[in-house]
Amino acid sequence: MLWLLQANDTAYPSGAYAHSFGLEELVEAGVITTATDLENFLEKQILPALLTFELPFFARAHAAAVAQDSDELFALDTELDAWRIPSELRDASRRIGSQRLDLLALLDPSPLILHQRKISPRSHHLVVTALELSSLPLAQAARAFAFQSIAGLTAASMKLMRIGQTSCQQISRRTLVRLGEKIDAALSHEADGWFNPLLEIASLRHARANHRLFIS
Amino acid sequence: MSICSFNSSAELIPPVATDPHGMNSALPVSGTSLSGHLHLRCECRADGVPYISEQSFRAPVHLSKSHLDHGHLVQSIVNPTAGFFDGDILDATIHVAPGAKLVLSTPSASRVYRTRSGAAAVNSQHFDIGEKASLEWIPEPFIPHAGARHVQRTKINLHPTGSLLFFDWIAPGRVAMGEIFAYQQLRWELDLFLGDALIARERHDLRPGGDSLEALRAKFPAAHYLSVYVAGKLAENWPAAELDALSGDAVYLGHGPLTGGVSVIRALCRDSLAARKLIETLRPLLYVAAGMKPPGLGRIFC
Repeated sequence: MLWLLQANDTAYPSGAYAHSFGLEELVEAGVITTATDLENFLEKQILPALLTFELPFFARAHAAAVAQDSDELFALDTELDAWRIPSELRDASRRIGSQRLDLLALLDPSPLILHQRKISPRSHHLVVTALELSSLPLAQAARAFAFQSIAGLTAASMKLMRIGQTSCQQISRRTLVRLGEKIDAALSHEADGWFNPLLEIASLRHARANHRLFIS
Repeated sequence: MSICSFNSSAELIPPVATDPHGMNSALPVSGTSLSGHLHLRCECRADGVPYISEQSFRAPVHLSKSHLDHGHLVQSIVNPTAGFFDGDILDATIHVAPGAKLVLSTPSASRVYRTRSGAAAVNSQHFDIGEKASLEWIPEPFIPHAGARHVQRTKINLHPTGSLLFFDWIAPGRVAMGEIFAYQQLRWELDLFLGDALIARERHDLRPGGDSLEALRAKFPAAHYLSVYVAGKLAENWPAAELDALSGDAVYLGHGPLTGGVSVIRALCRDSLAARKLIETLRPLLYVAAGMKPPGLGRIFC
């Protein structure tokens, strides 16, 4: 539990604070401009993607990490590139993952972690988090991963929109409650895609924007 | 010219024989549905001219006569039943042999009608593009009617030296009839392999009753969705600035690289006119940037 708190602390240097994962372009395009828009976006676009794809995929990576199956971890890491169509989202995931993996190799230099770093130093965030939290039960590890995803977006929103900390925390709380109601069922599903052309286009456009605050 | 062609179109009750596409393994038509196939192989003659070396098809599809244009063989795939019904199955395999250049299109929109039985129409398509071969797939829009269920599974095997221009255009429904996202379910799957490497995987399950269309409708309430994969020679001289300029009040477009020199374009369009205009601009833009002239499709636009 203490390790879980450390790895999810905002002071943990993952570099996630520098990413908006497409949100910046959606704000710029006028799709998300209010707190209501943000909450709606989280509820109807981000949570379904987490529950349909990210968390079931995370469950596979966590199982591979628990089984010390480095081949499966490498295969999942490679497959994630194919799922993440916009290059900026692939790159953001690998940037954050590599920073976490470098730190993890210092904090917990197990043979599996060192091997993963050797064969795939720029591993995806999802795979590295599964490795990082493999000593925890899946239900807790998956909640931590999902929390990172939601918290990353809400933190970015405060720099992009006229939204206060209290309002942001209220949105986070309600979003996490909605997530908590469905997360256990999602962990036993096969990973499936979630149709989000808007976020894909936003991310593709953000990569070519002349002015931007975030890396992604 | 050596053309080896076999054609088994529209044989609804086939004779007893063995056929690699299952044509004779079972009755291809039930009381309400058809089980059809399309097998097409395009090869290159010694003088560089592409030709159809093998063809086999059965309703619900039919092939029209092909023609040559700018070094490409242009082939139209016709749907004589004017759409797909619940339970209809189409199994398509398209091979483009080394060096051959093939353009496949449809002369009219692909429609899927309201399901009566609850079953979906299923379209499985496999494209295999060989060494230094080229395939363009440019169908007219896919229009799911109110109450329709449809599954489309696409697998593309692209040789690392091959070229690809692959369009998908999904309409929200029969907008003029007031049917906007009124279908039951669209299941859309795509795997794109470059050599042995999987470089793009899509799995979309669109059900208007839930949140799955939220992102599609957020920008335009009756959005047309356009997806384009571009590889090989057509992606070498990428017209990035020109593509950026295509976005506007009626089009929200993004583009960027996958791995291995393959690129992707995604767009949401306000309506069918915006989508058609975008394709009419986009297609020649990509060909001209690659130093080629776009082959004529033998239809009203492009």
